Amino acid sequence: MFPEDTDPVGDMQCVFAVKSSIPFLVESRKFPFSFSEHMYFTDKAVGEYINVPSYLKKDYEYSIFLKRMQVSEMGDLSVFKITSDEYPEMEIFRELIRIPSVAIDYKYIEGGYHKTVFTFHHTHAMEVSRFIFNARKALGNGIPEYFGSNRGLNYTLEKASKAERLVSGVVSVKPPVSDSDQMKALFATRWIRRLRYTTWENSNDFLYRVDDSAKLSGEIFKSVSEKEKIYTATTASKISVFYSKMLSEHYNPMFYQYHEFDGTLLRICGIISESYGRTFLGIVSDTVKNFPKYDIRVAYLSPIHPRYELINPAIGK
Amino acid sequence: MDLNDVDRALDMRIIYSLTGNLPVAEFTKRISINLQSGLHFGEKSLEISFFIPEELASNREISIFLAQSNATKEGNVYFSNFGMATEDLYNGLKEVVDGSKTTILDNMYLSKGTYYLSCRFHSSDLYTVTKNVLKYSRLMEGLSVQYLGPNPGLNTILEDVKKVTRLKQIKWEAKLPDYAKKSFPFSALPDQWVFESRYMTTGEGVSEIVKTNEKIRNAEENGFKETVPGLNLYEFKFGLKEPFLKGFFSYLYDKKMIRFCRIFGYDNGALHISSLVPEVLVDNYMASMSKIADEFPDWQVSLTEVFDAV
Repeated sequence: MFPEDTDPVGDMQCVFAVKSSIPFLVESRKFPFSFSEHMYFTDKAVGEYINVPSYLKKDYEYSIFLKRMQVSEMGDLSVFKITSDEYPEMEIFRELIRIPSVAIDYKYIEGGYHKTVFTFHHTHAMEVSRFIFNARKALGNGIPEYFGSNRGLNYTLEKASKAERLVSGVVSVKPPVSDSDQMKALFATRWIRRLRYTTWENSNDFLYRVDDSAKLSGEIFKSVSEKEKIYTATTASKISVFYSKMLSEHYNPMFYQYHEFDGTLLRICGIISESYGRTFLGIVSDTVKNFPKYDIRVAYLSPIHPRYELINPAIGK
Repeated sequence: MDLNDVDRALDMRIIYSLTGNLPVAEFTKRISINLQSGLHFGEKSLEISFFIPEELASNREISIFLAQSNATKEGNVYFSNFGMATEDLYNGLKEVVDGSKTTILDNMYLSKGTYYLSCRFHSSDLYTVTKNVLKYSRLMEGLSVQYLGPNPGLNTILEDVKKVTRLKQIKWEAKLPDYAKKSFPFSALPDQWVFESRYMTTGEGVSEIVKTNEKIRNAEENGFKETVPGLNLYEFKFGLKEPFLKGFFSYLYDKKMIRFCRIFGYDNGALHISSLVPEVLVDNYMASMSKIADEFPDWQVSLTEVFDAV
């Protein structure tokens, strides 16, 4: 059900790897599997939730590390948070999301390295290179493990399913007719869009490929490539403000968001860790209650494997 | 024009072997191992660097060697660097790589006490190369030839390297500002050409084989030595004349960067730079690239491709 071709916008992909400076994670290379991490941006800080399998509590170094971290339990996962208050060098990632076509696909920790998988449009290759050079200065190291044509969502899913069990979810929303100019401009044509990164502020940055660019009006869409009908737009609505607030209260359950508007219905597709499944349904149900006019429905929810082999023996039991 | 243009232009391969009282050699013979290494020519000095895979470090002799040589560890590979002091050895190896101007030193490795140097060259230099083997033998006791014959292609040559380390293909480009396009040496060259660095040395020292799509006008006056008449193959030292490349080569030399297939191409105003870099050294390579990008902001340095070479 999750669309096969979900990377219609950024034709390039980069995997940027940085050696961890977080004590437990430096040692984590002894574990033969990866952990997922979710980065988010607020006006005040850059933060990250790191998901570690719960059974690792038995590990001596991890248990020492846990003592000074606030850890929350989410199904099979122990989740802890790091922010730029403690690790100011994380702020450099703001430079990455300032590049208009960049969308963060996935972040994970493997072999003691933080790896950021992101896509972008080829016209921004130089800006991305510049980010890599600057990030190396801020972080003390960092290499592009991969830089080239976008290998698509399948690549990301293959990586992500090595860290945890995954679920894909689709929520359909029927936006009510709005008087606001911004909403009118936004829904004037069919489009697909990628959420570029997770933020807890009241607006979201998207990368669009629109169906009919002649129908675009107003200031909302900024062009990346007129020829390929690729645009960026920052949007804010009551529903997204509510949704962001819920995310900030319940961690970030969805790491890859792809939206499709067919002229009537908006479909929000995303990938969730199975451990976050209940939280996600809770958020949808609260949103439904608060926005009855939007006709919100869970259209699809299904595990993503067994297409991808799980290598962590402790998950999936 | 790409890698194949240079690779196929050099149709011969020679593998030299070198034994004797050489650094590190003795202990690799005793415990029977192979090490990938790199040779760096300074103005008067010679340095050699080694990769040692982590799984070998449990061997007592190797762990002592790693401690004594101040080896650094990156990922699952140790990296150590040595000076090779003897004058005879410096002169001898310099002759090996510089005796014929079409020679490119592709790879060097140490196997069970013997160093192997794998080079490509053009068949028109065959007489010079074989004649020089005798000359080298007088300078270096223990020098011999293990293979002399057709070039099997860089892919085959690199198979030896890939047995020891994973390689990243790193490709990037620099768009020349107008003033650079109009100045020497770019102004003297045609619109398309490709060159390969012959061996690893200082910024000024790097000697390149340049293959152009057409004959260079006034080549001799401009310092391009035609090495194989009719093939548009020239020898030139970019580092002597051109600040961007000189800077980049110097930074690589400072880091004792080992890399393979050291190719630069030029196509209508943009330099396309490509190297195969051992995974353990990618961070050092990026440091050199980042430094040159900072120093020459108007050259618009940008990555174009990075992937695992398989």
